[in-house]
Amino acid sequence: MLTALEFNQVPAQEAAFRSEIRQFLNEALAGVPSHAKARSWMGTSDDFSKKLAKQGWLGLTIPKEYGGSGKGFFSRFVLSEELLASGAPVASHWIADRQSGPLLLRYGTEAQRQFYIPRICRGDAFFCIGMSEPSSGSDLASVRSRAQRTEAGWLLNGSKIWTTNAHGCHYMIALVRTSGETADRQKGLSQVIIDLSLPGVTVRPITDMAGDAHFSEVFFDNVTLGADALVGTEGQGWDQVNAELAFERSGPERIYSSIALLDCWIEALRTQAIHDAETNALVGAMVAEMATLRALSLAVTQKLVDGESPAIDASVVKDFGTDFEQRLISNIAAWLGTHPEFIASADLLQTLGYLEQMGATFSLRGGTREILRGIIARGLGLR
Amino acid sequence: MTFMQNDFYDSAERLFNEVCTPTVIREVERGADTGALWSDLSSVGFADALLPESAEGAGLSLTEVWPMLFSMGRHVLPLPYAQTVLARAWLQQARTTTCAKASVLAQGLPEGTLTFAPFRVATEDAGVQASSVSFGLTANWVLAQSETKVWLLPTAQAQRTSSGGYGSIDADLSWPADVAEASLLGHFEQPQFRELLALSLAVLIAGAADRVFEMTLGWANQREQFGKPIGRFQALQQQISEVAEQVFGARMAAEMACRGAAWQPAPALAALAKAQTSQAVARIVAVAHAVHGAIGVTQEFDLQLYTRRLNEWARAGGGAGYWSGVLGQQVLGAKSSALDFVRTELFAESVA
Repeated sequence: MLTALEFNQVPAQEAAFRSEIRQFLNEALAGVPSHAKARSWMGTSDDFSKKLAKQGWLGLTIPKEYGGSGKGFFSRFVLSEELLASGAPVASHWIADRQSGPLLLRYGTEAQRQFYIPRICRGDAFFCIGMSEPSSGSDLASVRSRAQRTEAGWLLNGSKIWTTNAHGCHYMIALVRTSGETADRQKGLSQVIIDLSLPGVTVRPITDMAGDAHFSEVFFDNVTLGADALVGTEGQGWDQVNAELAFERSGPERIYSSIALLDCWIEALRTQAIHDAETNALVGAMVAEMATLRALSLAVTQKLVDGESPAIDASVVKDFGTDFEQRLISNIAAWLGTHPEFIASADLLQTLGYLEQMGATFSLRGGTREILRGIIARGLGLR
Repeated sequence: MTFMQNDFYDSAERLFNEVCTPTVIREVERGADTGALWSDLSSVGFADALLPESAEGAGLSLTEVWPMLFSMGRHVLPLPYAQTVLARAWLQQARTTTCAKASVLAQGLPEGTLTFAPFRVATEDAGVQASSVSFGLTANWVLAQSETKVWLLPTAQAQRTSSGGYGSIDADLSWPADVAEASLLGHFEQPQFRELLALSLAVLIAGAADRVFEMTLGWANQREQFGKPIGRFQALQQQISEVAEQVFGARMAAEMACRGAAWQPAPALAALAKAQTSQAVARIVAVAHAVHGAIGVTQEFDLQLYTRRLNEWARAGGGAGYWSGVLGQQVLGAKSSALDFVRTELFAESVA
């Protein structure tokens, strides 16, 4: 059920942490152009991720006994916000940090926790998530990849596609069928950890329309997995995946994907002293919406702090946020069209060009707009 | 969809449910006297909620008053109650400043309801003319400003003409020279009422939008076509979910703007709230009517009481374009990044 989202502040004690992050980022990202920043959590730098790990900023909310920093959700909000708003290349560790670590902490065996989580926190283990398949996109329950029980563990066959940064990762946590048939839908699905260096695993990067390769296709041909590859309970993969998606959907990454463009454009307006009524109104409308979304995202964070699992609220914020991120791009593009005399820098146009092309994915990744609205409708009691 | 856990909210909801029924709203829209309604509404003392205890008020902060103001929007009170709460706090403060003429407020704060006229106030032939004043037909007093002049004008002595469409309670108001002179409160360098009206209307929009959404959801679950409730159809689910986001956003923007230990809203937050709530109205109203179908545009059905007011409030006192412009000008005038502007100016966080 959807419940009210009440306003709350970032706790004041986080201010010092933000300053520390800001100082680090100012040095680490000096001179990075806007169009590189626009890649943000699609941009990879193993080196940068390891630097963050040295700071203790991977696995921020993970308990210290597993190598984390044991901080709270608001610290994590501040860190995520600073990384995203500054356009830091965080894709290498992002999914391990955001989803895989918390997932293993919640559902993993003690041995799995001891093995993987400290590696995640050190920046030695990057994870991707195997969900979509060639014939299984939004209809996630139709996955065909199958892990069959053997005497020693599991035998995995099948493939995954659109897997963000699979080619840069050490491990995948995949949703696969462990019993029954495709027609059984959610029943018989489980999550398994796959070491992507194992024999029989082939990872093929897919070049995207902006010239990058941020996602991959991954093939499994008789891959032998140990018994300890299973995460959580056999057959409970569907529920576990949905709990995991709540982590993915609740963060501030659904507000700031286009912020490099907004900042670059605002800076150009300031430099060229453009402040006509129409331009002011567009800037103000975008900033008002961004602030509103930030408040909604903070309200979801508060629910996490309170121990709730705000899956539906997170869907509201994600769908609203991605719509904002996409409108930001089209609005600035339209503004340039209305101001043909405006001289835009190459960096601004490259930033816009990147986001115009990849912005389409904002409302696809982590659940499409239509799927999310379906989830919201269920929360509203319409389904 | 409202799940506000708050004693003030609960008592406000109870009171407004009881005394401000759709029947009462229809009567007021047709010109009925509002004296009895106001005495019912004011009996609980909300009007002085923001006044300090030294002035026999409740000494509450804007944050504490927010649930009541939101509830006023949910019930589309046909009286400017939210404005009255803010106007009385402003008047109380004005009494203590040297800008205000002591004589006008010598007898204390005025009885009855107050609204604001921060725009479209003219002074021809020494009189005062205020055009399309929000709640101008039902307010007892208007706090008007033109350049530096501020008046506290009694509507009983005004020539009033309805200025809106069917059912509107907005009015053109005109006062003769002698009334204008006696009602002049003083000279103020800055505009006094723009943010107060913007905030009042933003909160009312958030409340009314919440109510309209509740009605829309109820109707989608109740009305059956093709053998099932229309809310089972994906086409409607997608639209209703989208509107849910806008309703959440409007409520959050209004709640943010009501933050603060004092009675005054922060100007940038009032701008944000009015911009964000106003821009949401068109889509919320359109989907609400689309879901309701023909019954929604009939006079006997209550939906129109809310959507009519939402449309008016969205443009009254400056709409989304105006207030976005005010905010945008501040953003461009600052030096910080978008995030730092938002953090420091709108969330009162410290500079990193």
